Amino acid sequence: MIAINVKYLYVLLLFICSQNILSQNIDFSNSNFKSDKKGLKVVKNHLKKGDLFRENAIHNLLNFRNTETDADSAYYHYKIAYDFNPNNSNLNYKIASVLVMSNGKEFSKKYLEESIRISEGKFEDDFYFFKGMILQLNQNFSEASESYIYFKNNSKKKYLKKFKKLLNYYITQCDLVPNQIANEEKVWIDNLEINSIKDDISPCLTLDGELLFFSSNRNKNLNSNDEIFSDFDIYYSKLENKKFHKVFPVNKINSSNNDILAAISYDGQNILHYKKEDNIYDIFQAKLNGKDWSTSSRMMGDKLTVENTKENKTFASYHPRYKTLYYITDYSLGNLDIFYSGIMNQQRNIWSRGQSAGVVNTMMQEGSVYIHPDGKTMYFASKGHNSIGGYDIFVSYLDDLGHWGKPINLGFPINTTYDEIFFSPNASGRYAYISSNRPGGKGRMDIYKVTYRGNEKQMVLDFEDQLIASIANPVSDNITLQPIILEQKSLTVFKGKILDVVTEKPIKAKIDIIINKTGEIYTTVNSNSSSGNFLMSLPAGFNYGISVEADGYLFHSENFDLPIGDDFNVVNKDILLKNIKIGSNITLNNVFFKTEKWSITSESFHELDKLVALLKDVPNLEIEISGHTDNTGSKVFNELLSQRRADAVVNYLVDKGIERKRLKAKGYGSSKPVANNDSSNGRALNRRTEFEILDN
Amino acid sequence: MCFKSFFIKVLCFIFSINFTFCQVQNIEFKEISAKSDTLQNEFQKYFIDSINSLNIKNDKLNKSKENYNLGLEYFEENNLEKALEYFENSTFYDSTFSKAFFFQGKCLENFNDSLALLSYYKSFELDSLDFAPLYRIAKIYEKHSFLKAINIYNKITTLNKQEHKAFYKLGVLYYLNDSIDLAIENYSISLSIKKKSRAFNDRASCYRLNGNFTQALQDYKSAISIDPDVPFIYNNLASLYRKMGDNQRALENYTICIQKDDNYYLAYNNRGSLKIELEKYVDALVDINKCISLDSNYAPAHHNKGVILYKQKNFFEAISSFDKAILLNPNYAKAFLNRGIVKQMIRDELGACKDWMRSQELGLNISNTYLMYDCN
Repeated sequence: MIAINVKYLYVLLLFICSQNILSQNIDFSNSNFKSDKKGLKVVKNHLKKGDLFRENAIHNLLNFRNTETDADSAYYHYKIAYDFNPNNSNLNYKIASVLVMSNGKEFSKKYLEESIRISEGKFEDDFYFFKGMILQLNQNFSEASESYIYFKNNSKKKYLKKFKKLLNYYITQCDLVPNQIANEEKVWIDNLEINSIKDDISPCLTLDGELLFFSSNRNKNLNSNDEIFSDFDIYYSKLENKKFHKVFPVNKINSSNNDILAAISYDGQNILHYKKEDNIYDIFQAKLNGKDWSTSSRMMGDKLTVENTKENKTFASYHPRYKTLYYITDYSLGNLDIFYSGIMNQQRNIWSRGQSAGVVNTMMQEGSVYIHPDGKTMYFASKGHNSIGGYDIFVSYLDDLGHWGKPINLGFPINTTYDEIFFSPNASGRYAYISSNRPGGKGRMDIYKVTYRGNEKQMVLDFEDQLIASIANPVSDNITLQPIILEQKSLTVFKGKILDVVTEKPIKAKIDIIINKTGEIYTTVNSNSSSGNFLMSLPAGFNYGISVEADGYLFHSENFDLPIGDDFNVVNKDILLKNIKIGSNITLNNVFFKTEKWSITSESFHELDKLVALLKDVPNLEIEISGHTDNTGSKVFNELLSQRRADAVVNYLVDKGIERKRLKAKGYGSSKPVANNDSSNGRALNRRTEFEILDN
Repeated sequence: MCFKSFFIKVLCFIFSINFTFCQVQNIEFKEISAKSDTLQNEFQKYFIDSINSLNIKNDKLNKSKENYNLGLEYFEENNLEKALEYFENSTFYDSTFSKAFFFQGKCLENFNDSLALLSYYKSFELDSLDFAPLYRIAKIYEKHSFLKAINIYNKITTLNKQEHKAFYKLGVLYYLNDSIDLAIENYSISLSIKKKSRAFNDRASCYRLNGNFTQALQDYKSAISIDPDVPFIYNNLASLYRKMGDNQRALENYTICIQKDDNYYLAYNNRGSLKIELEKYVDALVDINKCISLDSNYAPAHHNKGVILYKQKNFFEAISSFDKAILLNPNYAKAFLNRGIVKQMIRDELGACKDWMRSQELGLNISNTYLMYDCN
């Protein structure tokens, strides 16, 4: 027994010794790195650079500015030193302190604990401040508060002065936040499949929820000379099987510098993004022309004009009527606030000077802004108000006087002690996308989907009684079941396509939506030239007028109702425009004849009937029907065949009640090819029937 | 068998008296006339014939009764085919044996309602003072035709206005046909003839359905005062208190019910469900588990267990409980509804929507709301 005990004692001693060795603090001194003095010199240089960036980050932190860029750069240098010597307490602490100021916050605790474990009792002056921050981040509010108070009581007055505002703010947060997070909002929060290990930010959803645009620095390949963790590009993802899976870059807009998405118009046809030019961040707009994005231009007029001042402008939001722009700017002495500006002259792109959005702004940073399509709800990110920690998302409602009301924190777990920024809801308000650096993601900032569960659905209980003595079977009691209705924002998504009435080809058109009761134009949008799609959100309960104008087409207008109760609906409306432009040549792709004959097949009737309808709707319209063949066969035969086919179409139209004098038939044979006759595909294109507008 | 020997002894006694009387007659008339011999012979012949006839008849009656008795024995043993055979023999030997027809009908009920009805009608035809066949006829009609059953009970009450049982039966039928006011009327007549605990209970349940809780409370209490040992009345009373919002009294009465009959599974389920409402989930689970141990095939208990497990955030176990409830009752709309809610919580949105769809198909309209808002 004694022998065994002695054996155990040796093992114990060995374990204690090994622990001491493991926990030993190793300074960056020559004596500790005799074999690699050159390496030590390089590392010391990185430490110096890291310290400089750390100082900048702290300076920004204490002055209520964003710290992430400097913190990331500091971390970059510190990490090189850490890889050289991971057993330095002070370095571990510094890494912890810069991480808590970066988007890699969740890893700060690990370095702090390591720093304390191997420390020799000597800490930096700001140790207890950052320890408090890290404890607060990890929801150890009472310990965080103790650490802050220790820092407050044990720091020199002069040194403490610059921390005072933030310190007091954090101490108050530690008192209040436990109650704030006690009641969880009824939401599900899901990390998106499209996130990367780097920053994925600024999610912007089209109103119909089909497209998600965002920014990411996922493709930034760090090399040894890189310090900056940015180079954001803009990406988008299409909804497939109810999820966003694949990611595509918006190449036309992305450059080699930072291109950060600021907002997307509700119909997905315009993008706002910000980038640095002449050392100033400004907001730019790109438009979707068909399938391609235009090159972007400054949204708010020329740079450095009276209106577009020299302050940085970053994230922004359209207003549903596209006459006002909300944006984040450091106009207020470097502190980020929400401002708005209205367009004064659309043609010359002149905007009014920005104004503060009012009570939504604080002495802390406001980080993002989104105006809901109802025009009366603002979602924004702020580190102020009653933030749970870092940036939180708040909502503010416009009052009857046009002022934004007192912001309401969206609550835990939408907001956490980490940063939550951006809020992009779908039209029904059932779900939204946010960006957060909370733990458990794929890395740094990630995009999360917030799904509102609504009030808890009450379960129905079952109890039965033997109500009638002579009946052995129990009888279920009738319970009146009250459904739980989800509280959702009410907007109707109005979407559709503008198409040519005969060919059903998409048309780019200007669409005005008018509130008929007041005659006011509610909004104006353009349909996409490639798809003909348009998309907008409209409040239910009104009778609207829609007027559609497109070059060469008959003006179209009609009325429609969106009755109350159409909330959450998606109303689809395809509008067919009538081509009346003299000289327009339209191919009837769906008119078919029997091979080498001129009798029309029944598959053609649908398209020809649409042509009949057009001719009846526009009584002055006169057209020429032309037949065309490929170059197979003799010229005489082709001309005869095409003439007979054109005649057949004219006869069909006449049979349907169109006056013959409005119609002309002409067979061109193979004289007007539209494609090369060398391939079968080309020949197929050349075999066609067209009509040309002769008069309207 | 004792009755049989007694019956034989009585027949022997009657026969001996007749024989003695005839002997005396014979002595007196022997001297009067020789012609009278012919008459005497004829008389003797008739007498013998009548005795023979009587014997045959008695033999048939005996056989009928023997078969009837054997039929009863088999009936009690629930050997209905054998019992039917003997009752049919009994009515074969005695076609006026009302009781035999009645029991013949009771056996036939298990094989053929139409034949049973014929037997009961025959039984009542033979003895119109006995309403038992009419009650059976009504019982058969209850399965097929509410109106015919009502008519039979009305016939009984017309024949005898004091037939409280028929009024009670009318009350039950009207209750089942959702004619609660008519049910109350008939229960009241029944009670005016004879105050029975079950009639008070049933009328109380009618008042409860009509929302007349005060009257219901009074009747349940009257039922208990007449027969304080019927567990289910306490259970019904408890559920009434629950409806009236007096959860304390509801709990007390469920407990009394359980004390009266600790195997009364309904009361455990009901007390458990009340405890769920009171958010006492641990206690509720004890009751519900007890209910399941008493009747593992009782679907509502598995259903309520699912609710508790959901409240305790044991979502997967909750789903298992709802699965069991649905296995036991594939048309259990509430279980589909609730399982859908749990499935949504574990993010099985498709499964949730399918369950709500099924619940909607089964007539639970609340599912529409969830389908509309949560399932596109």
